[in-house]
Amino acid sequence: MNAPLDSIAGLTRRHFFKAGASGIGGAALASLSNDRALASAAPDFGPKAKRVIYLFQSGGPAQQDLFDYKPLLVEKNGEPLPDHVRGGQRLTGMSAQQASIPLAGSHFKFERHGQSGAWVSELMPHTAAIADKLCFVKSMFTDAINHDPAITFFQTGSQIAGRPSMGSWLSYGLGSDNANLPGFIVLVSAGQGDQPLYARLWGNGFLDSKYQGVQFRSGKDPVLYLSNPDGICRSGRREMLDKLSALNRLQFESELDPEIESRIAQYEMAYRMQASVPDVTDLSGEPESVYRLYGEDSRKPGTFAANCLLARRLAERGVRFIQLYHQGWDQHDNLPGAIRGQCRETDQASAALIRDLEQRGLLEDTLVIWGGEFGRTSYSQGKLTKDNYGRDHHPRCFTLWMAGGGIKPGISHGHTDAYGYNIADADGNPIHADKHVYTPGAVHVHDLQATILHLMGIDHTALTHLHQGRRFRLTDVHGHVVKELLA
Amino acid sequence: MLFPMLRRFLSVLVPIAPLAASGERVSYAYEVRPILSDKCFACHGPDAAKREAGLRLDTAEGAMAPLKDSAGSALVPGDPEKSLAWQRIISKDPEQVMPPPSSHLALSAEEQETLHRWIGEGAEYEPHWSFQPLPESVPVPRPKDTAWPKSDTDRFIRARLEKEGLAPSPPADPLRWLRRATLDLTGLPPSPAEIAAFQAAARNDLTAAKSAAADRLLASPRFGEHFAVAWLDAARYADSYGYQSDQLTAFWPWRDWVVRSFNANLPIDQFITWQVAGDLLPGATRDQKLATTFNRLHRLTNEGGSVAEEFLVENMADRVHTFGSVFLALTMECTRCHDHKYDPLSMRDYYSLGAFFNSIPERGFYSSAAIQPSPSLLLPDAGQEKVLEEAKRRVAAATAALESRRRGSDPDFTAWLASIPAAPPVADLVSHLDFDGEGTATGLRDAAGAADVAGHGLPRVTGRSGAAVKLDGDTGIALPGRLEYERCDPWTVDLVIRDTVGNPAPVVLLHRSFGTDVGFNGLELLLAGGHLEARVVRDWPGSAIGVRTVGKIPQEQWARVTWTYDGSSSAAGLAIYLDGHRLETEVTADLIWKSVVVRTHGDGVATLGQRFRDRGFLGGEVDELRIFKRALVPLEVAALHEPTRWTAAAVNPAGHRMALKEAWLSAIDPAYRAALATLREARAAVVVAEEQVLEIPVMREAEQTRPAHVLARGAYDAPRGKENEVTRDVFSQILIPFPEDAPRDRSGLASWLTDPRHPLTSRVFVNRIWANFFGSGLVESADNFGLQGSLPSHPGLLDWLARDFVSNGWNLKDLCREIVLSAAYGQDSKGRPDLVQRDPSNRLLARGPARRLSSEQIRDLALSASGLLQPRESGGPPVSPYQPGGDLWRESNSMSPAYRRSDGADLYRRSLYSVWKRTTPLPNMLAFDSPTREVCTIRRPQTNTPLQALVLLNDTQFVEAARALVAKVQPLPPERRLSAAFEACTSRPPTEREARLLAEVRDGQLVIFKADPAAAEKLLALGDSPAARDLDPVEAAAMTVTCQAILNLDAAVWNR
Repeated sequence: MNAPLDSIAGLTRRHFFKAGASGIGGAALASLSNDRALASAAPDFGPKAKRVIYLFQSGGPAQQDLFDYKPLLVEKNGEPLPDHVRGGQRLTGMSAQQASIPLAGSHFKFERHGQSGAWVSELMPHTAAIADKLCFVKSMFTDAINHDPAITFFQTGSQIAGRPSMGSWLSYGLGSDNANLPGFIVLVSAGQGDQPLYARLWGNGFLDSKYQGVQFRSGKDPVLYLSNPDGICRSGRREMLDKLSALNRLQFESELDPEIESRIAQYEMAYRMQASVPDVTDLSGEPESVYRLYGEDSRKPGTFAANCLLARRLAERGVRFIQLYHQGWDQHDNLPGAIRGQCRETDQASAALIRDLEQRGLLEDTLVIWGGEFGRTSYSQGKLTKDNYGRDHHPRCFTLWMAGGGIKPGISHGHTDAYGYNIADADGNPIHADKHVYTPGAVHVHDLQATILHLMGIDHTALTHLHQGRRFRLTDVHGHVVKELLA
Repeated sequence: MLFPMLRRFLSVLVPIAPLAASGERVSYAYEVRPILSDKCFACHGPDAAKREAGLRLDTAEGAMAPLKDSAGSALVPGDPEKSLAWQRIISKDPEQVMPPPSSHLALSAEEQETLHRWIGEGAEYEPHWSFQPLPESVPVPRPKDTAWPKSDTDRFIRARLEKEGLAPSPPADPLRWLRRATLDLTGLPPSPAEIAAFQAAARNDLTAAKSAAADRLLASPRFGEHFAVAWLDAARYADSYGYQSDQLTAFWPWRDWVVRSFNANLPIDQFITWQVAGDLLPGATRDQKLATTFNRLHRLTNEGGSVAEEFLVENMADRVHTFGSVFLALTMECTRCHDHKYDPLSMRDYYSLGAFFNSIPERGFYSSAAIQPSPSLLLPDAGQEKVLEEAKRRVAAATAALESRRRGSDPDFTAWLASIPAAPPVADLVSHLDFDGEGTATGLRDAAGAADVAGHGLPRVTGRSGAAVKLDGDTGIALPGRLEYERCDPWTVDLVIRDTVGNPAPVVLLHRSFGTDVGFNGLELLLAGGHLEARVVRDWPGSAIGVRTVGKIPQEQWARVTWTYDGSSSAAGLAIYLDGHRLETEVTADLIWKSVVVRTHGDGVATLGQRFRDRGFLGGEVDELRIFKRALVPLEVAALHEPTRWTAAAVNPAGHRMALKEAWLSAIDPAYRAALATLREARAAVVVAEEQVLEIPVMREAEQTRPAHVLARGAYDAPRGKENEVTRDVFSQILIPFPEDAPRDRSGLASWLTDPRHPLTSRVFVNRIWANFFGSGLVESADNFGLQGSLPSHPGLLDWLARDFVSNGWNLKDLCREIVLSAAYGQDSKGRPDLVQRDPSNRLLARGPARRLSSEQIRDLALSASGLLQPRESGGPPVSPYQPGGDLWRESNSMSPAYRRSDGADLYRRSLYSVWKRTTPLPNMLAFDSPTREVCTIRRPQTNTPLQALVLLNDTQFVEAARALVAKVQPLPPERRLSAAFEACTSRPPTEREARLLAEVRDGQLVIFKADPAAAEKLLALGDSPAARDLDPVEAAAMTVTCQAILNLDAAVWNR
């Protein structure tokens, strides 16, 4: 839970000492009494975005069927992936043993959209319609080839569990703008199935647990334990809390421990949340036009569309990091059928969120990101037939899009080769991207993270935390701000 | 809102209590090295690969050597102005100044002054304190105050306080001490009876009462349960695997062993040795083997598509990191990819240590929740043990009967020889496919009467006799109803094949198995670069038998491959023949238990030439397939290939008597065959009996030691060769050498670790025990004793305690007694104005300890105070307490098992026994800073969040506890009830003002519930435990809310 520390009156010296020893910011510690270093920790650029809405598409959407138009795959449909294109890249254990790996052309039509002429497939008509507001990054690449390590890497900067998530880092670095809501909120589309999500994806790792993401659920209890037990009314609770405070204050008088005052303040914050969370999650006051914008699904709590709408409401209230997850993109087989359904669930609401934010003047300082943990192969996993194909995991190139705060709209960044298998230069010649050496044109996960932090006004090399003697950061020892994406 | 933390921190920049005496020479170890380490070593330290300008500042030689790039050296002892490092530190030029602005590091004026003085005083280096051998003896200081100290421990603390000019705090109220000691030794609050007894005893002799209470608590079985919690954090114990679908596993017998060991006061050197190397101890006991589960508790994946080698490296790495953090308090993680930036540890050290842990017969994954990953240990209970013994006795008896028939069968055999048939008997053939026919293969008839087989349109080619089918690697020929054998069954598979590809990687010729790419169980025949490999597998390679041919079968030629297996569950029972001649084989695995028919994934239909997500027999041609439900003997196999070989024997029985007799016994003799059937049944009974038995992963050395390499950038696929191969070693350059006479395996490693001179093991352990009582160790960074770790507040005390601990036989309970009976521990913990500035975090111990209870303690306190706690505890499988919401486990993980809440008494067991699922931990525990147990955790943070308030106020568990507490105090006179409830949670009576406020809570709630009696009924209906009878609902509800208030008091959830 992200208590905005500044807002708590009882915050005391003892806290600072504890924080100094093990808690609050490496970035702060690194720069304590030296103006020069302080200036470099607080960067010389202002934040372009005040908040992030991350529409995470879990499972790995197939870029070849959505945004990365590859006519050559249709032309060479069924032919084996040439060895020189694969270039010795590893495959997962699921398709590595296949006797043949035939190229699979997309079954979906592509057209260029908007002034920018961005390629978007027929599966995403609403996204296509706002193409000029989006920045497509077609040259993403990542380290991991399987879901668990890959999504953990994307969200925490490490494949190994135990590191803080992106939203936790931001909460830790920036605090919250709303005293009555957590600064980092997680929304998961209900009932999707497919590849799992884990608490660690929004976990605080070695940061204090107040920085962990708080999941809002659809239904009676939007936050676990939020509602009073049956039989306890708000006024009864208030009355009891007043006495509880008085009792704890007596204890403080005797113990002189500022932790007690701090606890009293947390009880007040909890009480306020009991009102503010149901208020923000209650969508019933939204006008009909909004439901029409987001689509019919938005009337059903827990859907991706309803969560997009809720995300806008949270953004309006100053929540710093709003992380949505939509599962179901892991299409190893039966891709043509399954991806259609996925797009129906996500296309309209994603585009609606952009339009809605823009109409409310929020888009300019809200960064929206849409994408998964890796891409999918240009060859078919399993049998390629006239009506069907599947695609295995592919970490070496994939597409995501960004929009809003500080992002250059209406561009496509990066290229892939004609097979959609490797990151390439503008002429389609494969380039070898390596996270250890920044490769212009290629965007590693750490580069994306660095760029997100940059847009939020943070130097990714300065936001650190000293843990077990080492200064950790979201981007490990890598990451470059991708200037080409910035407005 | 930029960096609010910066602002806040700057506003309270008060120096932490100085730990070194002032006015003396600057101490390198305590003042200088922390600065250099934090600000300089990352670029000028131990990491040779990233040493800027070739300058090394962590050694005197490096710092004083002539610089490569400029004239002079970084440090000139006694002369800061000539020291180029100093010049760079004070430079105003951003290009010149050190540390460079890009590092975001800077030296404060005080730090600069310290360095200046140190250089001026001669720039003397000292070795790092924690790497120095533990002294043989440690002098105890003699404080002027001789009245206060009760023990040597106190003398260290008092002497330090005298040096600082501080007085200790007065003793805590006896009841406060009792609560503190009871919580710190058992995790639970004292019961009313214990409080009463202690008070009575304390009136006579407080010291004796404390001593008796300490003995009682140390002897309590709750002691081991409480101490286990921190060890489980460190060992990253959980009840699930932690990756992706996060299936449940059964590691809990290891958890129970930890509890038992602490309760039995197993000497800690043994406790450590067993966990590191119990399996390698001579005549290892079951508990010693079980202890090694410690190294198997890391997360494990079964996600399809995973690469085995990647996870083998990951598993090794996790063992190394955990070993480093738990036993040495050294952070090993960095050294996986590069030399350590701060500590003198190299990548080579990392992989040399890893070499102790990379060589067990593991696959890297687990295949399914139904199969514990190998290597493993069976843990039969007493009843199962008897059943197993009986089953094995029956196998021995059946084997003896078989031998007896063989010996006594000569007359019958001789009689049979008289009319020996000219053709070999074809007994026990159950399937025969010849693949003959025209065009592409469709339906194939089985000549032995087994089910027809689909040919899937595979092309026909010319076979050795008639036609053959050609396989494409992706299309398998399913053989329904065939090879559905358990490992007690004998069989023979006879194939005529032609390999046109010669794939060096293993391809599947034939299998009958369940599973996916992360692991198959069943039987399989593989071909790799011409070598045949036959396997019977439960979990490859640690629970399996297998052999591989030394020679190769020919490529591009027809070959008859015959695989026989005798049902013996031993590699010796596997034989492979080429064209009727037995091939020489080497054993690839030879230890198996439990069933090999576990229906994990797939239909388990035997298949030729293909397997799900496995490499099929691409380009392979198959002309003939026979399956027998018996292990054919060599003469029969020879005759399959060349019937004339039987004829040759038949015409000259005297010359082939032994071979003929084997064939006759096996194929014809009814008595011998009956004995074989009995043996099979006896073996089947063993499988069935083992299948019931609990199994747990443990350490077991592989037959062949796996080589270890320094992996560039830590990548599993980094090149491996002779030049980067490493052998097992420890960091002898900084600690003590590996014992010369010890074997280079984990048992030697354990000897090294528990050597009485070892600089780290005992210090690290003692420090953590100290933290159990004081909230923080004498070294605050209990997880890091390296150069970046914090310095000991009382170095002499730490050494004295460690030396005493070792000399005293690593006796944990004695150490605990020493601490709880010390004057330091017995002090009052109230805040003191004089300490607010001087020592706010109580490093000097002028006060008693105070801290919030752990997540487990908070829940256990509520259960215990309310009388709900299940009193009988004996470990066992984890239980599943209340969870809020729907099924949190499956909410965003449809692959996860469902959460099945426990019923009855299991709802009220100590939190130690609550199920721990790594990807979805219990939210009420997480709220109070439980770690996820995905990785080793030595220190839990202590946070304060609104979610904690919501849990304590709204979680059914705590509402129910409040309700039960009401029922518990109900029999008392009305005026006693509130104070009894208060006392149950806080172990002291309420003050007058507290009592008045509590009464006000109750009275206020009475008004509310009187106005809405239905609400009272609703509140009282929460929780599974039956509501107390004969209570007025309105009154009970009002009291319940009042008890909720009590459970939420600082006095309840803090240990002060």
